[in-house]
Amino acid sequence: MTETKLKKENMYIKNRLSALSPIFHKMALGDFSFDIDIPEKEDEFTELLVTLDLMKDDINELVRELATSEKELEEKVKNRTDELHQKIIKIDLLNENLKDSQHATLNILEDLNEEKEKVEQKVKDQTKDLKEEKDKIETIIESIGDGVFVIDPEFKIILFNKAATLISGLSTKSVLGKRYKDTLKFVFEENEKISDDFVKEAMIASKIIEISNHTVLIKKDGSKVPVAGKVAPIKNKKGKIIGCVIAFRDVTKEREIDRAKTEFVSLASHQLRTPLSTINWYAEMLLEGDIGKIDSGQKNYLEKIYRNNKRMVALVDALLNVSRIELGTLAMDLKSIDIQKASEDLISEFIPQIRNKKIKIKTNYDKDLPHIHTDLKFIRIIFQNLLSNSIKYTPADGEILLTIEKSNSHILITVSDTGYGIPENQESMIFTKLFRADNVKEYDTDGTGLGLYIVKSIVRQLKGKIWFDSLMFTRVVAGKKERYGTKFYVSLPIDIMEKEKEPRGVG
Amino acid sequence: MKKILIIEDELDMLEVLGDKFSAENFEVLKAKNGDEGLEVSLREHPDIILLDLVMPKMDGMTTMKKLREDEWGKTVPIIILTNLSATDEKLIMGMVEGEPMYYLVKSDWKIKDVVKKVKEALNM
Repeated sequence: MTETKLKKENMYIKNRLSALSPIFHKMALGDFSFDIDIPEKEDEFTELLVTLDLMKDDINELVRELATSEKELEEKVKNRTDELHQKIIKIDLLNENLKDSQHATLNILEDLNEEKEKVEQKVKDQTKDLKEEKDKIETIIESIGDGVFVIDPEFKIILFNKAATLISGLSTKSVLGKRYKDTLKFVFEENEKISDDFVKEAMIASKIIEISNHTVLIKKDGSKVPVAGKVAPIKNKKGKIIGCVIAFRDVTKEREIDRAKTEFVSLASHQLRTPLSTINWYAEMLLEGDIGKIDSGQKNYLEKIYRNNKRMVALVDALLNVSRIELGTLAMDLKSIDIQKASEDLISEFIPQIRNKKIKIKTNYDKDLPHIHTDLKFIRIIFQNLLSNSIKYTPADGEILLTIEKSNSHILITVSDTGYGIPENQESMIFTKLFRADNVKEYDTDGTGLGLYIVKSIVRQLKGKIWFDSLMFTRVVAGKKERYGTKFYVSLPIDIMEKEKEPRGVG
Repeated sequence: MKKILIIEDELDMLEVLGDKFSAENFEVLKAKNGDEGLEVSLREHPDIILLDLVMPKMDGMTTMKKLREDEWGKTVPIIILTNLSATDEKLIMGMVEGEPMYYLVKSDWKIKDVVKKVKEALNM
């Protein structure tokens, strides 16, 4: 190549390059808004320019896209920021609330503390009061003349007063914390079987129970003291039973007085019987015309004397029976008894009275009633009293039904009537000595108030049971409803000895 | 006429029984206690004796025992008159068991039943 040609070509490159310079300059500054003139001449420079132009367009395109996404991003960021802001406001609010609560809580705690101190003081005071009260009560219990002990739900003794130590001969120290059954022996007088069911009974029935008659306490030295008393369950405010308080006393003196009284009655009755017999016999002789005929007026008076004297004899007999029962001298004479025959015999003795009052009497005996091993005179007293009560206290034209049924080991005698019945509020008194129900006093002035007491005592001696229903029927009289009727039940063991052999439930 | 001896410390009782048996055509002898009764019996040899149990000086059971020791007294019918209870009655039964001629009446019987019992014992 020649030098000129070289120079010429050099020149051309120089020109073309200088045309590129402003473009690169702008690009260096980041300005891509320029236009590139593409020369018509096709050479490497033109190609470069075309490429540049394409690049610039791409870059511009990219920049535009970038600008758009940046805007979107900004928008998003703004939105999120707003949301966050909202949340922060909420949190602030919550925080504020929390602060308030915290404050309030603190206040409450402070108050509580104060209250607690007050309560503690109160409790302290009350404990002191209670202790004083407890000491006082304990001193009182300690000083009571009757024996008193208290047991917890596990039957352990938690209190045992001085009188209790005197009666039992046991020291307080030796019984505290021990089950009362292990230390105190309450037994039945007659057979020395344990008789301390009263505690269980009081706890189960949740009411005051009387210590049964004929209970004796075996003292530490083995001697026996007759005792009487009451057992009361201790309930908390919710009514739950949390123990039992037992108050008992030595009744030796009372027994002696009772015995003296009974002996007096017995003696007096015996003394009364002789003159009564004499009156009886003279009246009888006069009535029989032994010393001459009597007229109807004399007969009338004599009959009254005779009848009233008989009543007196009956009363004296009843008193004698009572005193014998109480003295324990009414001994049993056990024999094999035909109970149906005994019943029929007794009924036949009452036929005059039954006819007089026009009372219907019906009987209903189980077939093949067994003979029962018992005391005939006792059985007679039972029938006698139940029948005579029914006859006395049933108005004319009434009905009496006597039944005897058998069960496995017992027979059940029932005597029911259509009589006046027993007033509801006096039911519990009916077996009490000398008690007479209000409603029958006006119909019959003869009664002694001893019959059912004797019957109950005898039934007990025969190891049986007696109970009754009353006012179980209803009728309408003059437009008014009226309840009436009485039914007595007597259950007796077929063999009294058999019953005795049975092991008795010892609680 | 049958001869009856009544041994009884209650005078009214003694009297009423005496009156009744007199009315029934008996020859009546009376004694106020066991001592006296024993003496009268051994002297008078009554056909039958009505004997009370509870008496001062000598009681009925002792009187009966003493009577039975006597040759005549061994077989004389004796009626014990008592107002004692059934229990005591049983006791008497036990005590007089094996007695040749012995009966029991109670003072709450009708008097005509007492007479009946006496007549029965005498096969009258």
